Amino acid sequence: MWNQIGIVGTLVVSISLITFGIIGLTVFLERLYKKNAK
Amino acid sequence: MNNLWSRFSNWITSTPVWRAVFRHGYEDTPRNRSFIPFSNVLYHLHPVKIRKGALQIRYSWGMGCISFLLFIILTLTGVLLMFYYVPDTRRAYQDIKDIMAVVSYGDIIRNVHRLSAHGMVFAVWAHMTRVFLTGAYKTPREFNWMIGVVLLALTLVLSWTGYLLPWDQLALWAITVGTKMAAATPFIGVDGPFGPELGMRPDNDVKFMLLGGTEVGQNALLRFYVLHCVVLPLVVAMLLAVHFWRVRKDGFSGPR
Amino acid sequence: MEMKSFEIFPKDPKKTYGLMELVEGKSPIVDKEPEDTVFTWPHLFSIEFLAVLITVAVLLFLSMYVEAPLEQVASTATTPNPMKAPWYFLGLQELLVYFDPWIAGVVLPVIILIGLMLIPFLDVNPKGAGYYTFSERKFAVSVYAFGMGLWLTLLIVGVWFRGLDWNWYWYWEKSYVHKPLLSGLRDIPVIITGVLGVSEFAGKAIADLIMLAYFAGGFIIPVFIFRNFYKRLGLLRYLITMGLFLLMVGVPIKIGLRLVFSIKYIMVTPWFKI
Repeated sequence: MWNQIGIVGTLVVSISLITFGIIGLTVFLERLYKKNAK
Repeated sequence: MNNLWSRFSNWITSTPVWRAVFRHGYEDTPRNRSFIPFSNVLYHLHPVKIRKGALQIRYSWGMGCISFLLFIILTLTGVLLMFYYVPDTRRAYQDIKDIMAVVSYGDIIRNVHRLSAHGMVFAVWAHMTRVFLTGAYKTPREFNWMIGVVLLALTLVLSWTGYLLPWDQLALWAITVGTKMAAATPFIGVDGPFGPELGMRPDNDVKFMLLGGTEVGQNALLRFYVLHCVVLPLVVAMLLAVHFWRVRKDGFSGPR
Repeated sequence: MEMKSFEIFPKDPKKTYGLMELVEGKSPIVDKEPEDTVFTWPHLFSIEFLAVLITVAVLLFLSMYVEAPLEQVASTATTPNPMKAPWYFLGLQELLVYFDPWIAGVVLPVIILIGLMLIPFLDVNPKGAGYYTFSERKFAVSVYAFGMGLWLTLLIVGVWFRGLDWNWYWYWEKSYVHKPLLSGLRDIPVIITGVLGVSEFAGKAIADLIMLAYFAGGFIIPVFIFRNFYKRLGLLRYLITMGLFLLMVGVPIKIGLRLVFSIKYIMVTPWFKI
């Protein structure tokens, strides 16, 4: 049972990390350009 | 000595032969700077002038440039490898071993080829991500985006067809798995839904067409070799030409 | 002394324009153009040249230490275990665990490629063209990021978490020891028949209804909750966008059902099973 929880957990963590990672990268770049424009 | 040399070079560069081949000098004038991309068949992919904002790597990431560069490196190393490889199931594996152990720098050439292949898959993916995040597929650049997706698919197919050529266990079974999935295609595969109903048999379905037979053997090796070395690079080159042309026509999307 | 005068632009009574002023400059433009451009030679060419140098140097350096793999000669007699496709296809191969080959190997990749190609036509948001933004394109960037998350996760699992017999192996487990294969997978129609005590036909019908409800709900509900979204897209774009979105979200849902409840098929027909 712990094995299954671990598997599901790995998938959820991985999907979340990558999704929010890409969103975070976009936000970071957006702020970088706003800062330079000002 | 200096005077002699400069007199000699001045004379050489004023001869009709030299002037016929090299039509402009290298003095740093704006006119000459324009000539370099303008009068060179390879360089005139580039515009003569470009917006300063288009040079920002933090906007473009340079991944499109890297992808094209890796494609060229793959072509050059690939041609070198082609001199030592014959797509015959009886000797293909031994040819690879010879390339790695016997041919001078063969191992470096093969390693560069393989690393560039993986690198190109990553670079193409990164390029697509960058274009998406900067919205550079919106009007009027939709067509170029579609060409880009086709290029992505072709990059993966190029990589996959090349995978078979060493004829080792990795190659044979990777292609077996891949063609098994092809046989499961709906309508045109013998194992797919509605396939048998439409007359698909093991000797006339899409897997048979891919392999030139019912199993991964000599025919498959030859087909994948021709696809990998001739057909797909030509198709990719033509699509790349359209892809770059569209960038010139629609303009680079970057900051001002 | 007589000075020969000549006119660069001779005056002509028929012309309504004339030469105003001739200015000598060192470059084709006297002052900065509105667009602030520079010559590609040297500026762009030098950047590209640097990229070429760095890439070639890195490649040559790495190729001395990273050997291209070459296993034993091909033989149809023995199958390597686990049989792994090249890393960029491992996302697809991992999908094979949860879907039949025709879905995982053909339908889903084709839908992914077609979906990618349709993005410019489905994205009606005029903002965000030519610069990085998340705040102005929340839906587009989120959906793309989620799709990437799914794809890369499947890839990562296929590369690092799959071992013998395509079983799940953690990093610390011995990769050469076989593990018991998963058993006891059930189909939803069978479960429904068992739980509700109805006939097999009714079980299948209810399972089909569940699938229908998922798609119907997925199509109809956002029309009312996100009215603006629906209005901006129009019917055709909305249908295509939501269709692709539901298919994409359906993948982790099915994976979850399989991992948590050991469910193999949701919909069973004589011709195909999903």
